[in-house]
Amino acid sequence: MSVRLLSSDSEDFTVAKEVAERSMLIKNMLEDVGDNDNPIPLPNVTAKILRKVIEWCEHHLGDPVTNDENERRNTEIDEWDQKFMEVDQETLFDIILAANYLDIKPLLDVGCKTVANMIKGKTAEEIRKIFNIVNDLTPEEEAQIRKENEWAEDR
Amino acid sequence: MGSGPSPKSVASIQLSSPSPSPLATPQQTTGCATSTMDNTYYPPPLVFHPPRNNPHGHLHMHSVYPLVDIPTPPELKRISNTSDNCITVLEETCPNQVNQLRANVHPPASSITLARMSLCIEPSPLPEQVQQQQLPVLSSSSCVPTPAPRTSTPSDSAFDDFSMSSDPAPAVDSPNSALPSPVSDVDDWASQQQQQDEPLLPPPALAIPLDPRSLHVSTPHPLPITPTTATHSSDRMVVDTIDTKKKTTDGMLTLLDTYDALPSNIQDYMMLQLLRRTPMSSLRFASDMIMQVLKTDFISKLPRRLAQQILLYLDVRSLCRATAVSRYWRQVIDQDSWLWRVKICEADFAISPHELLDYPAYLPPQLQPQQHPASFSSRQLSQHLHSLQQQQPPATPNTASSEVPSSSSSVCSEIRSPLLSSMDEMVQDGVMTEPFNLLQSASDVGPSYYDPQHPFKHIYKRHYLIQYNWRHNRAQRTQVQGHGEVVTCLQFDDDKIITGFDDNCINIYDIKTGQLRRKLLGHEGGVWALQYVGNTLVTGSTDRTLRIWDIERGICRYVFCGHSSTVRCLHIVMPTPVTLPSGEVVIQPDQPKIISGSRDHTLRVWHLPYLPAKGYAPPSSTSSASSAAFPSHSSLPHHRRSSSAHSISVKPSASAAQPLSSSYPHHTSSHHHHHATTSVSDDPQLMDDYQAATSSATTTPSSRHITQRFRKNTTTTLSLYICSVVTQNPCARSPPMVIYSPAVAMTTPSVCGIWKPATVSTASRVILKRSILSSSIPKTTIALVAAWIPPSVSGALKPAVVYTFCVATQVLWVYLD
Repeated sequence: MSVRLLSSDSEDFTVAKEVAERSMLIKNMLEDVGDNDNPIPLPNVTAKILRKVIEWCEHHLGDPVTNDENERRNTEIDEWDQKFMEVDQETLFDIILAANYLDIKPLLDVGCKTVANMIKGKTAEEIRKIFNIVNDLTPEEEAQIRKENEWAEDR
Repeated sequence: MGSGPSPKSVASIQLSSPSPSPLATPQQTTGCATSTMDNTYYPPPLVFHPPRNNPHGHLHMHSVYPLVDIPTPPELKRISNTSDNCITVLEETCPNQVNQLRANVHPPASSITLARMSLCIEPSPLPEQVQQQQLPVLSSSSCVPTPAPRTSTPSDSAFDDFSMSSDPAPAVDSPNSALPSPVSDVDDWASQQQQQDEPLLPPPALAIPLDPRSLHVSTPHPLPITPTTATHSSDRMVVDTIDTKKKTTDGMLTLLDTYDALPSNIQDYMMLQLLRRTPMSSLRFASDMIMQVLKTDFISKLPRRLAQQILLYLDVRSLCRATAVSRYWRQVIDQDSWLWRVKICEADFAISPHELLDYPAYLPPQLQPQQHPASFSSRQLSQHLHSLQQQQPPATPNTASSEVPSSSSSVCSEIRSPLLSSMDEMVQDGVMTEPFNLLQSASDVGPSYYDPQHPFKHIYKRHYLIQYNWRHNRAQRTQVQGHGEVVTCLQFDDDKIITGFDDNCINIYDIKTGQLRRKLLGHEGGVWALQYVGNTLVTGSTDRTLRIWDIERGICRYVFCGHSSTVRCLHIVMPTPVTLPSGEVVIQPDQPKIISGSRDHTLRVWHLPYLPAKGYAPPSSTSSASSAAFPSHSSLPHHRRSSSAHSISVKPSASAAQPLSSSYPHHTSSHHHHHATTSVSDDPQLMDDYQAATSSATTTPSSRHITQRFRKNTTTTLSLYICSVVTQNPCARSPPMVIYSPAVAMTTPSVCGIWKPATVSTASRVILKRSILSSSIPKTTIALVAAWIPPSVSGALKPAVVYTFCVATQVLWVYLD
């Protein structure tokens, strides 16, 4: 049993139903629509990202679904996912959006964790560099903020 | 062939598999010339050769062109494009299969000729034959320093640009010049066949059909092209031999124009080809530029909920650092009350409602002020206390929160007992120091709730610093001036410290200044035990009495007589909702109670009188109802009013709280085992319980399991119990084990067991009932903690438990109903 998915740029993907159903959005759609040969249009996902997402879903096909927020939060990114997420930031951005849109929580988690890991332990300056962010704080403001947050640093 | 009715044209060239189109023409080979007759055009394959300008020879190709062997990504091996009415499919193929290229075109009914192009890639060293080459639409964002020959005039139609621009590059000089270097060659359509005949086509070859019309459309100055025009333009494609030395800037422009005109996925493919022939230094240069552009500020570009999800994964130090990134980051991090509440919960900081008095919106629904926004409704508070205790068993806050609504509502209905409502104020004080679940604030919309004024970052900081200071021994000591006598017991909160002295007095100190606020005099012996709830203080003394004090007014309201020896310890047990095995939720005990332990080898259970604080007027209906349910026994010996003038004005509601043991007037200080049995004999029910208990005396306790569950579920009480042992019983080197027997509990709850902590198997047990726990308590009860344990934990049919600690070596454990 397979499902056809249509990316925003009109590329047609045929994937196994179980793979597609990692997406709660698609799963619910399939439940609503029933068996149907028409491709499911996914106007928010480009073919490039959809290909990535499908790749992820295929690899994680057998994963148990956990609804435990804590468990999901506390598990580290596994090796395969780390490799999978070695993409440029724009792609990562799109994967996160797609995972959110398609409602694939574990993938969304992995994406968010990947970004969080980029931020973790970095100074503000390093973070700005990593994400190419313009510093719009005046030096006085920045000094003030640092002072306010000094308590969290090790002393 | 092919002019099908289908609105789309499909042009494809395939090697490995038959064309998906039903209109494939198997006989055609790639080298075929353009044919307008059958509307099918078979372009020649394009052959991409490796960079030729390699100073080190082919062997060192990798050192110069790091990406020379990079495999074509699967998604680029087959490229399909859709222009207005034609689908073009390009496939990378293996050169040895070139002869089997199939091209299929399905033009619309208007019989348009499609031009397609085959690209052959040849990664291996280039033969010299490739002198005459045309670059198909090679794109390059960098400038070629050498001028390119003008292959066609810009006015030549976009298609010409497409097919012609090329430069058989002069290899070499600057790294950038390698970009357009002629590794990729396009043979014009006419020379196509010849190209194929060349024996030197090693592996992979790419066949790329292109739809010329799409080129036209995307050309900056598209010509008004009719289908005929398109046909014409493809016909006009001729070989342009390019003289390597005649490059002009036109060539570059053409190159760029052509690149611009390509469909994006073919641009990708061309980019891949360019990268393969780009030396390391240029790659680095490009990488620097590209990486900047590809960076994304996730936090400000993602929807806020997703940004929040990322931030939730960060530790607090990283969060604090990140606030200095930019204004927006600071705002997103600092204003997210949910984020900080989650961090507080993760850190296990216990937040009491007191800390949120200025932020009532964040209190749980049960604590919400309603009629009187300025002060909390005590009823809501008491209800919340119950629901809080109800929640405690589940391990994680999340699971607890999901259960709260149902359980607390059932609790609310149970709670409307008039007796309880008279206790509201005491309960209020109790609950205001109870930790509660921060993640279920009432007015919250949930995680998406942003509030610039929320206090939680500040609260986190405070708790973090307190914890940090404790860990690093940064404490400031304030010494409270005593008066030379032994301090035997104490309790404190954020307002006061109450201490009991061996010299009969009780002192109330201001905890902030350390000043003595009040001295409570009345006991005729040393004070050895005390506990307070709300405004009600209970003390036990060597004068064999318990006294009940109004803390605020500083007066003794009751004196409880009955113990025949020193009252050594006592504990107050507050009503708690308990879920019975049937699922029913009941409040146990029905009223707040005092359990007192004495050197007379008995425990006694008393009702805790209610002493309202100033300014609190309990509802009158409450007092009448409670009086009806529990007629006053103020004349009984265990319940004696103090002689002070103030005590006479005790409110009616307070009179409802009399010592429980007053219903057993013959229970005097001399009660021992046989007395208890005597009183039991008055009550057949009681006797049954006794027998049931003795018959089960041989069951083996399985202590460890239950003990752990108990610890987990009643943290507050347990810590108090350890504290009691340490401070009041210096003989006990380690806190005694709390031992539990579910087997006994099953048969009857009205049983107590005595075990020596070291040898569990030597357990013996005694029975007791109601107010006096007597008989085989062998020695003085030194410390005592009472806790009401839900039957789900204890396995008991009835949900009450009292702990006593006897002299150093023994633990007494009692059920009360």
